Amino acid sequence: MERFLGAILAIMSLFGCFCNPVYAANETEAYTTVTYTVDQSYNVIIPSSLSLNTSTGIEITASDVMLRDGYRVLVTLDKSQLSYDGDRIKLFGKSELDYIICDIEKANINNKTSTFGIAEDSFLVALFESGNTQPVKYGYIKLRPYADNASTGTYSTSFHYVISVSNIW
Amino acid sequence: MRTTVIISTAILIFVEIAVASVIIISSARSNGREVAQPQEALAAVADSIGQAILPDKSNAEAKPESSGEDGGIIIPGFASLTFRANTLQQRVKFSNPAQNKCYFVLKIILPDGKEIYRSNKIAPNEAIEQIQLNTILPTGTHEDTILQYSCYDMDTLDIMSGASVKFTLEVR
Repeated sequence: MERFLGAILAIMSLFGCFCNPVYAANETEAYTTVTYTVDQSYNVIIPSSLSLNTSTGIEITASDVMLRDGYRVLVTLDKSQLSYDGDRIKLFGKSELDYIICDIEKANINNKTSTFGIAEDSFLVALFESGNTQPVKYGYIKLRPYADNASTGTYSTSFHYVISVSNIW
Repeated sequence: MRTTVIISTAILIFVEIAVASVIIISSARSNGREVAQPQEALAAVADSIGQAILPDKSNAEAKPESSGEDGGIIIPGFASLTFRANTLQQRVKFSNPAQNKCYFVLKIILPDGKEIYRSNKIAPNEAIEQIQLNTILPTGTHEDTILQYSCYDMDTLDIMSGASVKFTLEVR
């Protein structure tokens, strides 16, 4: 009886070993190609701060500019957040009545040819094309403060940039 | 004799189970049924909360030339964004690049001036992948929607230069 039982168990185990999955040798493969086009994107790099005691201007650059043909990245200065009068801005001290005047002009980053004021081209300060880190137009804002008769202290303003992608330019 | 039969049978069963396990696991992998990756698991967790802030892996691998080492602020921009209609929960990819040395606070402002979203502070190398809007949006296209970046010094929390990215918001 014991031998019989042992033999049965051994046979069952043996058959169990043959119960592994078996795949067809000539299976065919089919594919579904899934695609998704990532929309236009870019990084614009703006200066966080600038001391006019040690520097004279702001440089705007970009990275990873990926655009469709004919499209460009436009960087403009937000006039509504800037005390702008002609080709000058105000840098404020302790109050709105305490300010100094500062000449502002924009220049091409490559040849440094500049334009007085920033109003021309709807306050455009940099224009980027796909794949470029340097702007194809402007890219540099020159600032020259006039502190004659101003009281001692620090005068400041902050720039707010508006960035968009357009095929109109 | 009886003990020998039982022991040999037990060994056979053990070997059989081991072989079967190896075959089943290798079969599952060849069929592409891998166990979920940790990042997928993290994203799944993010789905369950209103606003998920995750480490931004893509920014950590950014090129040196896009760095903000000179004190510059990297503003990520895009041309369009798609939201789902009639729901507050939306999927996005807003990030503060690792090279920045400032906090971002982001706002989404519709062309009519209505603010529909404002983030908490986003530190460098963090990203938001899910947001909750203030209001439900109907289907439509909103040209010149603004993603406003307010930048704050990480030590003093003083406001720094900022930027607004104009984009087309599609709700469908």
